[in-house]
Amino acid sequence: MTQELVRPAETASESHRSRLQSLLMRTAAASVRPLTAIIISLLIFAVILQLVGYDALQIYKSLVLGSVGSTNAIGSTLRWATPLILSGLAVALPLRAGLFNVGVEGQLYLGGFVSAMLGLHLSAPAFLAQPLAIVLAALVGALWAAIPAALLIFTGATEIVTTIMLSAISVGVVDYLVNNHFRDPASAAAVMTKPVQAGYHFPSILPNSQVSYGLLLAIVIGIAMHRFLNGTSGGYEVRMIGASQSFARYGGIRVGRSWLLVMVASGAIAGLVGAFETNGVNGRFISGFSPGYGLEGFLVAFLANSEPLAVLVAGLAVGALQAGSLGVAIDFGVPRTTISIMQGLIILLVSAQLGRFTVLKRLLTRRRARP
Amino acid sequence: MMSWVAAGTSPTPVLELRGITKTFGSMVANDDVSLRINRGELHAVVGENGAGKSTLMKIVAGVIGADAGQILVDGQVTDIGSPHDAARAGIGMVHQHFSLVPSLSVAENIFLGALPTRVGVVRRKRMLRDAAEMADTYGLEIPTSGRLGDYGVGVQQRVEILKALLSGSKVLILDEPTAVLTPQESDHLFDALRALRASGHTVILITHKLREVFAAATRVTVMRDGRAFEASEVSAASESQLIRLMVGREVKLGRPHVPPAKDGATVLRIEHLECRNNRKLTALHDISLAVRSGEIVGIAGVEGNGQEELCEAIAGLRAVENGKLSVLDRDVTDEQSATKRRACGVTYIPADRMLRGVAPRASIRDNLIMGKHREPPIAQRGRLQPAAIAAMGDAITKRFNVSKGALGRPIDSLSGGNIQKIVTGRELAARSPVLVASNPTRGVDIGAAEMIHNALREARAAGVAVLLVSSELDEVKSLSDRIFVMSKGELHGPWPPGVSDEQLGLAMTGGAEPVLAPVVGVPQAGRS
Repeated sequence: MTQELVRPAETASESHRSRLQSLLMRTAAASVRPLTAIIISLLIFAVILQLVGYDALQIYKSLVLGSVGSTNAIGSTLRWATPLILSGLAVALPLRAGLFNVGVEGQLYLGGFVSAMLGLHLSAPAFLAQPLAIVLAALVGALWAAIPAALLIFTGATEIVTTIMLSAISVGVVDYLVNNHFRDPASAAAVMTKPVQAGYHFPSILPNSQVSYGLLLAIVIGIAMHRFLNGTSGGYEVRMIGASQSFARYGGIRVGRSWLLVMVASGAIAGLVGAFETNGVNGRFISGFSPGYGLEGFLVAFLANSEPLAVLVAGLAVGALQAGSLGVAIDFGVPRTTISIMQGLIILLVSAQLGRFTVLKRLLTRRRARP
Repeated sequence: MMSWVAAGTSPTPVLELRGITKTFGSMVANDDVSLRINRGELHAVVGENGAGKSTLMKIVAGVIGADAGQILVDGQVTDIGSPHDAARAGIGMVHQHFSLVPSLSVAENIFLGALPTRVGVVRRKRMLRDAAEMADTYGLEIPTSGRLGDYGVGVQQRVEILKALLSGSKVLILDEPTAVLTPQESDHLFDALRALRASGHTVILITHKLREVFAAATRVTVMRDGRAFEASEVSAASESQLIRLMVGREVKLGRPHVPPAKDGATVLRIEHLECRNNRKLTALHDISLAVRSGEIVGIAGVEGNGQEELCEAIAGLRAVENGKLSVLDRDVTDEQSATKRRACGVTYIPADRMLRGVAPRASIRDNLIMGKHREPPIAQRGRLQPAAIAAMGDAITKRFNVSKGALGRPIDSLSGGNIQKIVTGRELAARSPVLVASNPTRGVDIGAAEMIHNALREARAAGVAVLLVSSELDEVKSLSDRIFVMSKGELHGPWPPGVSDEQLGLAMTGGAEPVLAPVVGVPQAGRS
């Protein structure tokens, strides 16, 4: 674990400037691991591309251009980075307490649905409407995540299974409701609602892009999570539970309470993903709007070793890959799904580097368990 | 003192090590170690924890590979790359932690991997007969029926030895075999080892108890800091000389017992306590015990007789089925969580330090503040105070002479002794009226043990009620003001500190035949 790299050492006497500096330093230190893993897997992936018959150099050039080559490209990267960072944080926090929230997908689906419902049925001025949508989405996500936490605490039911099951339930129910009760009559192939009212629509903060202030919120949450984990008694308890549950119990930590806390916070963050995708990027609820942010949250969190500051960087990097791969798909006819080979490589590398085969094993089991 | 003439000493040693070197990262576990084991001898390898004796024997047994050096078996250079190679060369090892299957029968365990079969069908009768025969030959008594898991560690150990003999071992290595045995069982074991020598086997005994060297061994090699000193005949060695070699200085362990200055008030009172173990079997029967301020009450006994359950029940980590616990005349029975018991004034040094005592991969700093992480000065309004944490780290590392290093390093980068010193310091820093210490010096070097013993004595002098649970008789006897023995979940005693080992040993077996007695509710590791 690279935990030692990011110790809190700030004292009250330090100026804001040096606090910002130390935060940046820590972020830089935390970035080494995710970036190394991505670069190495890019190299391996290049060999695979070459073997299959593509020109890796050309493809990578297109990948870079598509992610950072223009204002539009950067906008695209940030657009994808927003849900990835948030999902990464939603996965990372429970991981620090030794829990796998595999239900981020369902929680963000509910968050998106609720914020769309508000946007469709409740008229309110923008300054009220948007915070309301955000809070309600977070609340629903939190409640949905509280169920597996309660099941774990009171019955010992493993959260890996219950989060997956509850996720499937919420996705099914929401799809049913949208399809049968809230479907836009004008929609043909896609199952989706009508657009939300203008006041609910999260504005773009960059011209010609779909980047909302969800990105800023994600960064704030990441920094707050870092502060919480490393600088507070509550965060200390979360980390110790993750480090050794028996030690935490021996030391008198109320494990169940911390578990509930991290799961609720995780669900709330997941709910935000839904709100910003639905009322921001898409402007309406679209069935299946998430390309699997729940799972990609695991990719981001693993890359970052569940360090919140590193999650910010890892989310950005995976967002860049996502944005770049769109261009590659168009220019070279490389199927976009090949990018998942790359993601698999990254996970393999990160896991191997850590020697944490148990984590890898649990991840694989989870994948297989998904319907 | 018994002594033997080394039987059948041949010019070619049965096992010879030349220049064995093994490093783990920057730590040199074995530094150019050479050793000659003669045929038919009982060779003791002694040294403190971390001296490299277990590493050396694991290399011989093929468990780990050496970086450099040669192993000669019967004068032939032999390449031992796996336990299988070692077995082929006639070398078998009985580890501290057995590799047996509790749900299989005793005989099945002995023959595991070499079941006698006829056209694929196990020849059960023949297996039983052979097992009994082998056991008889070497005086290693074993029960002939029942699951292995129903019997105590003594039986399990004999099964391990028989298993090694069955696979053709001529050289048998035993790693700290008496750690889990009563004094009587230890004597039985040594008798069996003598019988093995008489039948031409060679025995290597790894131990840190010098008493055993003089009771059973013919030659002895002392190891320190990864190096081995010249082997000597046991008859020509003295205890003080061996200790000097082991530690590198004079050590006075087992100081004479000093009675407590005054009779304090009862602080910890346990009345008719009953508890279950992790398998839901009754582990404690009607335990009553009182510990006064300023005294150390010792509980001796073979591990797994309910000591862990008792400690955990007091610390709030195990549910109390029946009975009453009070601290300072306050009934705390219903305060059933570690948090609440800590608040009531109970601190606990757990036996399994890597599982409970610390989070191995967390930093030294994080491990130090456990239990105090919500109170001032460590935390103010929920925020950790780095300055106060650093000050606490300074105080504890200074007091226990732990190399301070970076407090941000993972605690498992320290030696076992230093980790235990930190655990002890952390719990004593709480200044609680009750301290429960379970095997506080297990696996630590003599220097650390000395320091921890002194810390317990100081706690006693400061008026703390100390309950010391240990499977090391010497430790219990040198520290305790009153001694109890725990056996099958029952408490016997008390005895004064001057009680004989034999008397305590008898209590440990409940006066019954020690060999075939099934142990009730052997505790198992698991999520609690």
